[in-house]
Amino acid sequence: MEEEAFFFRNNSGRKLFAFFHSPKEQIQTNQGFVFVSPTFGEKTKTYRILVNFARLLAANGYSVLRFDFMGEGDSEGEFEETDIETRISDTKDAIKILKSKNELIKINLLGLRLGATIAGIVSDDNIINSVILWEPIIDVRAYLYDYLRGNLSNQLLVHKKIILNREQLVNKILSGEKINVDGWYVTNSLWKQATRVDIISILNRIDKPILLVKFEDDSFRQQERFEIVNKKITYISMKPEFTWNEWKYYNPFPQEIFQKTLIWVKNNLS
Amino acid sequence: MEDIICFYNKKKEKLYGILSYPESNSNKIGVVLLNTGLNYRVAWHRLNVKLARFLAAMGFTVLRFDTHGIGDSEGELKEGIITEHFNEIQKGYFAEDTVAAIEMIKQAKKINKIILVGLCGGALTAFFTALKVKCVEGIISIAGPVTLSSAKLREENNHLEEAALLSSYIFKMGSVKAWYKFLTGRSEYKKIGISIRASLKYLWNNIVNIELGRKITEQEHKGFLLNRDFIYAYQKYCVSQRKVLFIYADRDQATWEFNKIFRNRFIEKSNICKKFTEIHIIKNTNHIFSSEDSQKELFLLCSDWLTRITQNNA
Repeated sequence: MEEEAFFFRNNSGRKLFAFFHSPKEQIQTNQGFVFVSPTFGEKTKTYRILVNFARLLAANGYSVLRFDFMGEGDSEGEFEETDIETRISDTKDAIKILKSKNELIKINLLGLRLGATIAGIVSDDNIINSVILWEPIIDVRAYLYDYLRGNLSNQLLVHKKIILNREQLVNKILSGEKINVDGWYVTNSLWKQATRVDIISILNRIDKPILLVKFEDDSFRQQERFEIVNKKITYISMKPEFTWNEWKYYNPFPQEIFQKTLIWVKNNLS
Repeated sequence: MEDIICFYNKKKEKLYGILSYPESNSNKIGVVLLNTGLNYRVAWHRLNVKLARFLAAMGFTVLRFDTHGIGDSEGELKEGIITEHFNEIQKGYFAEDTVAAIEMIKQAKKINKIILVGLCGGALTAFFTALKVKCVEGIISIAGPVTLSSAKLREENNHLEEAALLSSYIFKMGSVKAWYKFLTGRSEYKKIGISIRASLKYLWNNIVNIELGRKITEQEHKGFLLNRDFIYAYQKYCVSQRKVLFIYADRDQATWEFNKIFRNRFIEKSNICKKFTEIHIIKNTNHIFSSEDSQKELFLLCSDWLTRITQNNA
């Protein structure tokens, strides 16, 4: 297995960090993955899990390209410049990079949390062969609304009381202000675009293999809102093996999700 | 300018990092930013990225990298309770990797002067590394804990929290209801006793002098969770006449502990430590410096101090 870290430019000219995992020639398949990362602090807390799964896929013959969105990780740009559309656009640019490594390669996507939602949206594109969604965020607006809780906690810490409640924070976002949550910013464009995301209808209409993995105790109870009728979707529910919120137990190599996903990949991608 | 770099640690594991440096007019001073706990090289809300780019624009060459088992680097850390991992880091687990990073930056950019800047657990890594490498001319320790994080240890012994309870009991002395409960046998006498004993032990610890450079015995500080290895490293570092800037956030448990059990005893009472140590507390911010204002203050403090000490040492 060979690994290469490099920068590439996205379509707005910003340098994005990328990491390419290339399998040994003897076992190399014609399948490649682009990994789409979570956002906010969730990215940092799950970074090693995606690194380890990329290495596992490469050890099994699949090429993997991981990358950082503009304004995240080691990429150029500020977080507050980004929204759903910039993430979709960056993912498409990353796909082109993987394709440039090997023109014959079939492109598959794997996303985690908001990255899974973005992967779901991008999977509508004909170039995508299959998509794996680990804990996708179905209702992005609800996700952001819940995320604002971090701002409230900080108000309590600094001012010992809530000065602006969540509704007031939302109003500020809608009026164009950016709201700081744990050092990240929720902006007007991110919020507005989040309200328009309809991942369910995309997943229902695409005609390609989809693996959807959900952890059982998801606080958003997204499975209740699922109205997925697409027979191409394999749905796996499992006990949570890792977390992207409060870090109490460190598990950089979650066995069950890795093994079940790898089996699905081997069975569905040829 | 930014380059991706890779190098090897002592165990021959490949470590990845990002080098940020000025396009021209480099001041030939290398800054190594150290990991916060198990976070990878970008740190909380990309604080390391923002700080590295800020310092590079000021003329410094800045490396931030992943220690083994973290981020993109090779090697693996075992799964386990996070605070037990923190405990290992707080005792110098990543110092050897940092030595390798210093060697890399010296060779790649022909730099001889190194400053270590660490956040949280990374702040402690800086002291352990500085004892191994003489070219480290200064340390900026940001929100570094002076106690050990181990949940197991904290459960067994936590005199600091017990002692803190005493103030609530003293506050209750003005209450008739509390006195009535106390005199009629309905108070938590055991807890009050533990709290008084812990407070006396705390006071005694602050009176007794520990000779500089002597490692505190476990018995001497049992129950206060004080990181004895870190204190030893800090004192030896000061004895070697190198400077340190401690930066803390005022709304942070680490700052409370720093002020309560470290500052007076190990800095103020020691002429040599006091001489080489500066302390700055940033107001109205938390452990991760999430507010924009606190980040600006943090960055300016770092660049001013770096400029000052590197000019003095020139």
